[in-house]
Amino acid sequence: MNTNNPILNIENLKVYFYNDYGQELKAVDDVSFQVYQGETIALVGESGCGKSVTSLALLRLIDSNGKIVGGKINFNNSDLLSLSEKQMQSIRGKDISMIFQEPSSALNPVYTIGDQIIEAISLHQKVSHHEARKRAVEMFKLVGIPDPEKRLNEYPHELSGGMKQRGMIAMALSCHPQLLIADEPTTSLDVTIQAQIIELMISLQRQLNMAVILITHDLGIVATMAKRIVVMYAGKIVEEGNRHDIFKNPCHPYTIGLLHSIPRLDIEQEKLDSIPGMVPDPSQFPEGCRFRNRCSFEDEQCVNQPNKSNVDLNHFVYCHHWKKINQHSIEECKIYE
Amino acid sequence: MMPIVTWTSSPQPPSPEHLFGVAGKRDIFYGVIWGTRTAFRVGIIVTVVSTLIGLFVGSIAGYYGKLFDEILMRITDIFMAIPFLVAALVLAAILGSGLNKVMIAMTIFGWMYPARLIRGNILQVKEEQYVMAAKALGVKNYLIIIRHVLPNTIFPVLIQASMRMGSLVITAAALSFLGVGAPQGYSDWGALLNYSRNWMLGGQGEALRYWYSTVFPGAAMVLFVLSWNLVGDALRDVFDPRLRI
Repeated sequence: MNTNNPILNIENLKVYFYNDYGQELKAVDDVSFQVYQGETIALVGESGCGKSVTSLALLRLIDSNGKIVGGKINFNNSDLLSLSEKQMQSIRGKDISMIFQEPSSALNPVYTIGDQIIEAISLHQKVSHHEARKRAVEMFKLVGIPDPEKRLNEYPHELSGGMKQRGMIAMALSCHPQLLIADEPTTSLDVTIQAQIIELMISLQRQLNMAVILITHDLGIVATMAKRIVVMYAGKIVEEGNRHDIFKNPCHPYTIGLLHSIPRLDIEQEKLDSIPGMVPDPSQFPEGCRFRNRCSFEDEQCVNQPNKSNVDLNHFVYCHHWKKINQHSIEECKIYE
Repeated sequence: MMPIVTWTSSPQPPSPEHLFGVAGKRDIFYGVIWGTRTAFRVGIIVTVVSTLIGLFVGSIAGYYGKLFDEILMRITDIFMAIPFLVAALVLAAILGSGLNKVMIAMTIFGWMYPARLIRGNILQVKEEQYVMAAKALGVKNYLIIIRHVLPNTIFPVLIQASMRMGSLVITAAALSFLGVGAPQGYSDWGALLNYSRNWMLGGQGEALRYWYSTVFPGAAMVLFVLSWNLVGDALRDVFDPRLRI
């Protein structure tokens, strides 16, 4: 395990949104985790569980109807929440950058891809236009775009989805950030391109030694890329652990549910399991454990907020019944075997 | 000013001397040609000024939203609720007639359309992911407006403006026709139509007898509007890279 200081340390982050009726929506509630240099951490969870909001909070880009109400975000020993907007702008894109889910809508349609990457480069580095262009070409080569000189002059609509995402990655990496936030980077791509993009990200991460926060609900990608996994549900972390812990030894009923809903080739299944029910509306999260009304292990204890329990040195879970569940899941694994 | 070429008050048909004929004692050809200058002046000045006002109001309302939006849009609504022709007539009556007064009236009651258009566009573009992506790259706020929001919102406005150019000239002509516009004898298509007002129905038994007094100025207006619409179309083709193949 890494013993030096984490480059990013999120403590008790709370992001609340306020709707027109004055209700408080706790989109991210008491989330803490650390990211160390060069490692990949995956934020996993259903849509609307707060993973994207967490990442936007890191860049302080929450919409105006939302607010970071509490917690600390420490990046390289500076508190991001206390920086001025101007200081924050110099961190965005330079030290922390982000890749978005939809490459086709994350690129401005009226500029060529080259213009956009050059804009990103010259924003944070004092270089001439010519120099910036040269770097853009280098970045394009790095992300494996063939014929980079020509591609630079093309508009986003002239590029394929995979090319656009490579372009986005080139743009995000153009200033060699220490931390890359990848918000479902492959969701809108088809499967063959997904694999290429993932491979590309893994190799770039090694070359540039940057940390990656991978936001996804695709556990396949998590298994190939992430070292640590944070499972989120309804704005809270439910389980956190190394890849091995989460996949082989899950302790939270939600994690187990997630793992069961992946189709597997090695097990005969008539029908794919799914987690019953829906993610509760943020204005109506249940008291105590937020998963309890979808959980088969629910009992009267669950009305209280579960505490953080250490399964292992680096494996935490927020559940009253994790021991029982863990036993259960291990037995289940045995049945499968 | 259109010179008085004859003292007969009834219109005279086209002749080698007066190519488009004579109406209201004035040469129609002369009026149509020099009326173009008036049309351009009215069209361009009113469009540019009202579009600039609209752009300013609309982008503030759209980008800053909330209270700004609420106040500015309600003011816009009030202006839009007043029938344009009536308002322009009343205003021209207050300010006094004359081409400049008409232009002021048309600007005061014309800025709401670009304002609404740009506000709507900005509201839409603001939510686009590339604006968020630009923010995530650390682009400054004003640069986001100038480089990312405006280029994606301004083209529809320019296109609308070029098309409005045509329709504004029609409105100006309508005001001239109603008598609050260019001074007597000024070269203006609307004024020409005003001269032929009494003769539009033709003579007894001959409905089309004075056709030239309306057809030539009318054709000039139709061509003017048509060409601005074509310019609008062309602008759209030029500006929108998505239409480039």
